Amino acid sequence: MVSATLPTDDRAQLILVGCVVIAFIVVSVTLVINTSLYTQSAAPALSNDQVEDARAFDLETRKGTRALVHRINHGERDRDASTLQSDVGDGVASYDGLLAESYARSEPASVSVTYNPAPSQYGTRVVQAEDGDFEDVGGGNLLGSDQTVGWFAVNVDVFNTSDDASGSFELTVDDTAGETLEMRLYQNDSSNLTVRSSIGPASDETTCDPIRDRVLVDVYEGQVVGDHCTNEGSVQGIEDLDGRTRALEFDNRDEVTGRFEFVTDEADGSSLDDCTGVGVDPDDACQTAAVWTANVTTTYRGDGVRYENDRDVEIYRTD
Amino acid sequence: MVGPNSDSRGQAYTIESVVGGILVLTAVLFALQSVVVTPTTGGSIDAETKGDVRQQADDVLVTAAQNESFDLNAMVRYWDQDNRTFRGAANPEVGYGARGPPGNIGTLLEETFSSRGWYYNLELRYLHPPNSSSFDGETGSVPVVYQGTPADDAVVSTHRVTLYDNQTLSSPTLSTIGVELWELDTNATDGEDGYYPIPNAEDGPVYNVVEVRLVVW
Repeated sequence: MVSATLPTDDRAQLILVGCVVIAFIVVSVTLVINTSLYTQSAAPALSNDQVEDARAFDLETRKGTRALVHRINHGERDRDASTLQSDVGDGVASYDGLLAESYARSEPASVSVTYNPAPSQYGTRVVQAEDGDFEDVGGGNLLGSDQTVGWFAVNVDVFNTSDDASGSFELTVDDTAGETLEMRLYQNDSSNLTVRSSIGPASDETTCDPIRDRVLVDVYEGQVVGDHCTNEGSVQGIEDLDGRTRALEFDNRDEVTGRFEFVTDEADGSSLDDCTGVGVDPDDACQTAAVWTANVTTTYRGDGVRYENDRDVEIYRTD
Repeated sequence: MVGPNSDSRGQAYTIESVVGGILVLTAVLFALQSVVVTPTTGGSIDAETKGDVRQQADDVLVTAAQNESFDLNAMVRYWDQDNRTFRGAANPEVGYGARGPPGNIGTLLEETFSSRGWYYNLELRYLHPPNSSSFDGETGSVPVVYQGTPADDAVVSTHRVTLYDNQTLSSPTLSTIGVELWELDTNATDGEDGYYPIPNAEDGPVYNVVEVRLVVW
């Protein structure tokens, strides 16, 4: 009797073991590839989003700080430089608190904005806060040497402004490039305000109906705000000059009634009385402090990004 | 001569082979199903497209914020007190709805998203003053545009606008011309006609910091 060993016993068990090993290898390779693909897809997107958020924060705070300090500058007249510094510091601190709360509630980021008074630059704001003629400023150049104007607005009481076109109020601005801006304001036959402005051969004119008897003239941007303004209220302004301003004069100062204010880049830059001085009335032209450039520190801290920047925010434009 | 165990061995071989086959097939099936599980799947937008859409949404908000005639700040204040929604909007629940907001931002949203088949919601989120009854740690919100419930893979972009006490509504009525924001009624339930939803969040020149939130899907 012959008995034969069947070798297929071991082969069958080998096949089973081989199948288990193959299955294990397939699963392991799959896990490794999947993890690699997931990490590769996720990581850049997260850090790119945070960088964009930091950039957006920087842009928002620059604009927000500029608008805030501008409002504080023009909010009060009777205030000295140290009080202005304190007011700006308080305003920026308030803005910082609200901004931090807003970011904390919507995204995993901590932000802050801090005003640094010492490196900030201060200028002069010349203001006549109540209606009157413009005689207070006197004749001649209202700017000192190396002063430049960054903002200038006139709020005209149209009804009480002269209707003499030839002898109307005129302001003249000279720049360092040899150009001259000449702007005339007068009431026309229809009790509207006409503004004529020219720089060399280029000239514009607009006529606006008053709103509650008033028309606002942005002398810097060359924009007149009223009702139904012709030429869209646009005329030549200081920003259309090629050079920096170096001289500003008022002529026929008693032919206009209204309020005005302009800002220059030099502290104590006017010969007019200080607005906080004794005997200075609201309808007197006077000078007060203004923040020209605000130095702020902005910080953004996200999950993967930390950003801190010391920046000089220009409150007024000079180009 | 075949032993009495050859039948059971054959069955054992068969069972082992079947089990081995099942193991391999299961592993292959797992592998095929697992490869598709990445952050780029699970929705209808791949990562590159989502990135593009988010960049476009960011650009729309930044461009709208810099518009000279009707920027985001003006849009936030373009409020109709009597209808308790934005001026020209359909109703307080959907705001401008499918029509989109007015001005430059409406044009940008139409050209960038609506015309290409995307839906969007535009919402304002504002802070409550700390001493108010609404201060529960959450922000308030008011819809500018509501076009539906966003998909799970929707893209979100935000931009912040700062309101100041001495600003006025950009769509004033006779009763609100010259009325500064800090003077407006912001109580919706005091029974008086008309209100502005965004409150004065803090003493000082800053009125509120409003988050303009654009969700696109």
